Amino acid sequence: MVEMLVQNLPFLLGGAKNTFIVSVLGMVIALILGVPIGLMRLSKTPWVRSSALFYIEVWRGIPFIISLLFLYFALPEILKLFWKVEIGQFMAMLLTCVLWTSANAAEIVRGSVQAISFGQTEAGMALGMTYFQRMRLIILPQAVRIMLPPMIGLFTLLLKGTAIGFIIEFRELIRVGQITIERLIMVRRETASIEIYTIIMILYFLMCYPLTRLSAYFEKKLAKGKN
Amino acid sequence: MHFDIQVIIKTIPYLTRGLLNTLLLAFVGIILSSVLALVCTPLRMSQNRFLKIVFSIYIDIFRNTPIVAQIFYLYFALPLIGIKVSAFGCGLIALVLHYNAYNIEVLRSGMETVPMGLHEAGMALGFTHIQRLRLVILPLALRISLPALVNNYVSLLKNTALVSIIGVVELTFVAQDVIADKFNYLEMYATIAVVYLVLIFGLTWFLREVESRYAIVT
Amino acid sequence: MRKLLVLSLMVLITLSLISAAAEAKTLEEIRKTGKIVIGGKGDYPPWGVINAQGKFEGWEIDLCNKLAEYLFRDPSKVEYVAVTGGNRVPFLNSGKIDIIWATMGYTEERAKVIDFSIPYFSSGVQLLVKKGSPIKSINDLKGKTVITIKGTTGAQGLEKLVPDANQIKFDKTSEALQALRDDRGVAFAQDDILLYKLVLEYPDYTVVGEVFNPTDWGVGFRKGENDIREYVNESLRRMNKERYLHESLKKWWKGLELDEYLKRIDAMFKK
Repeated sequence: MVEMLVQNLPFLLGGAKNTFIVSVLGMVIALILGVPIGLMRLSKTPWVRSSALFYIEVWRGIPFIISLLFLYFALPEILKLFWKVEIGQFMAMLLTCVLWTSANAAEIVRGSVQAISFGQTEAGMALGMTYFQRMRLIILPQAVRIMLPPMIGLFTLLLKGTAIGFIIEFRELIRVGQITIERLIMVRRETASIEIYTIIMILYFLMCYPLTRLSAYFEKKLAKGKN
Repeated sequence: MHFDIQVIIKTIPYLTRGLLNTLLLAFVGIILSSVLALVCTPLRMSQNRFLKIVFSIYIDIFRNTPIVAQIFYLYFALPLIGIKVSAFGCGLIALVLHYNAYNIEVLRSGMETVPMGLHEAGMALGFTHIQRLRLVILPLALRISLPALVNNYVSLLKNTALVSIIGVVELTFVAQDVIADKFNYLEMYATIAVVYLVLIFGLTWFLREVESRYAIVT
Repeated sequence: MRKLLVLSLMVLITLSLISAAAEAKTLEEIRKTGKIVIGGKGDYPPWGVINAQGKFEGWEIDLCNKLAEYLFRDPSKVEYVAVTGGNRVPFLNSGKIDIIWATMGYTEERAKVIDFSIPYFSSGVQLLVKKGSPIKSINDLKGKTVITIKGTTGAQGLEKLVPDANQIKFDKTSEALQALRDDRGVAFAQDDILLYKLVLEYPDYTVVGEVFNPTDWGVGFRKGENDIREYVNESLRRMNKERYLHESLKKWWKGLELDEYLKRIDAMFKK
């Protein structure tokens, strides 16, 4: 048993690495997109607000697995009408992560900005600040504090969400585990499904639990700060 | 590569079968995970150290691992401990256990928001602990937690797509099966994307109505 | 919200009016990229498996490497993507892989959407059952639960021959095997050669039933990519003449059935 572990762990850890990389990259890009879209959602201009709403509702509404399949298979077909383009496993995975996460991030941004009392905005306006100055100097710094726990939560959800990547042959942790189980079951006569999935669960737990605790810690600090 | 509506029309019976299973999983899953949470949350908050630890571990595991891994794990592990269920059953159990963990946390925070005054009122009326919970606290906690629970319910509906990985004949599985024989991936994935959107919007709208009537905002 | 629904339906209708141009790659383009992307089996020993280091190996893999050797003078210039019966054609037609070389049999359904090479091997479907099982032929499957893999000749054959059998379809061989061991079905219907390999590892199982839905194996190409197809056909003929097909098979299969398999190769090239 231990021998099997030692032999297969490097391969499994490689899968964990891919999971982590695509999640981190996805999160970073999602944050960059999520903030403007979240703010657009609050805009007074109808078409700006509706476009943001459409984006958020679609990419939050469609199940992650469906977006992934759609972006991997169907989107290239549509794009090929205009450009010669290809979407590989990593790109499809990353794209899905970015779209889903940015939509959720936009919602978190919206909620956080709305949570800041209008008085702050009024003060900014009284000081003669433009919208961007108000955002940059008053609203967003405060919103970031409120956003932090749910954003960490979102990242955790993303880490777990990448698990479905195996369906398009993306070599994340679950896929890597499946390949190992396949090999063991057919070539080495060992049924090791439970053992391998236990390792997979442990690896995910090790990645996510610290983040969950971190989010809870910030949430407590925030509650204290309010009082 | 032509987008062929005809093929979709021919597969409507099979798609309907998948859709019914998706709906069944979602509704039974929502109801079971809520009922289970109502039972488990007081246990989670009991003074009993053993119960506290057991539930902490259960909740931590199910909230910090992907639902995909949980589905596979239960699918392989349940037969080993003698529980022989179909893939549908395994998928349902995985969904219920996963969302129960989330619901417990939500309900717990709802319960903590219920003012002490109501506990005392219950005691003054001579209610036993269980009666207090059943008649006063839990109904209120449920209504306070409703918005957060609604999020979980919609998420459950979306994640019914994941049980396709163990062979449950729901919407996503049907799409993949048809694609395996007919190769019409553009049509199938576009169609079920639209169906899922309709389902999600429908459920969200319905739950928002329920929320507006019963939720208590503190 | 209603606006979103209307919009989604409009998108769907618009898509239905689109006729995307068939994507065609030429041999030159493959040569230019310096590697060929092949969809191969990773769960079908000993024709294609993924080893502990994550690398593909097996008889078909050897043939693919030989193709790369002919094309690039370097057998390592292949990038493998693991495919299953259910996703290999979508992977090919959506451009994720250049060719399919994955234990794929010629069927008319498949020939409607892809092109095939000349055949290089063949197989038929049989049943894997636990030793002592009452199932002896596909007629015994009437009304029973049978395990199959999505998109394979096994699943399709059973659809036609025993339509009232309840099929549980999986994506991967290991899942199907696990399900059989958990008694989720009375039999596993798949290619005879794969089942022969499985009973070597699992002697408490046995292969029963007459062979049904036999097919000749071919390499898969997108429609219209004739230069690539001709090149692979030539390569297959060359591999046959140089006896590479036979020699490499001997490396991977040592059992009793070896002669039978070698005869199958020869039968393909007499056609």
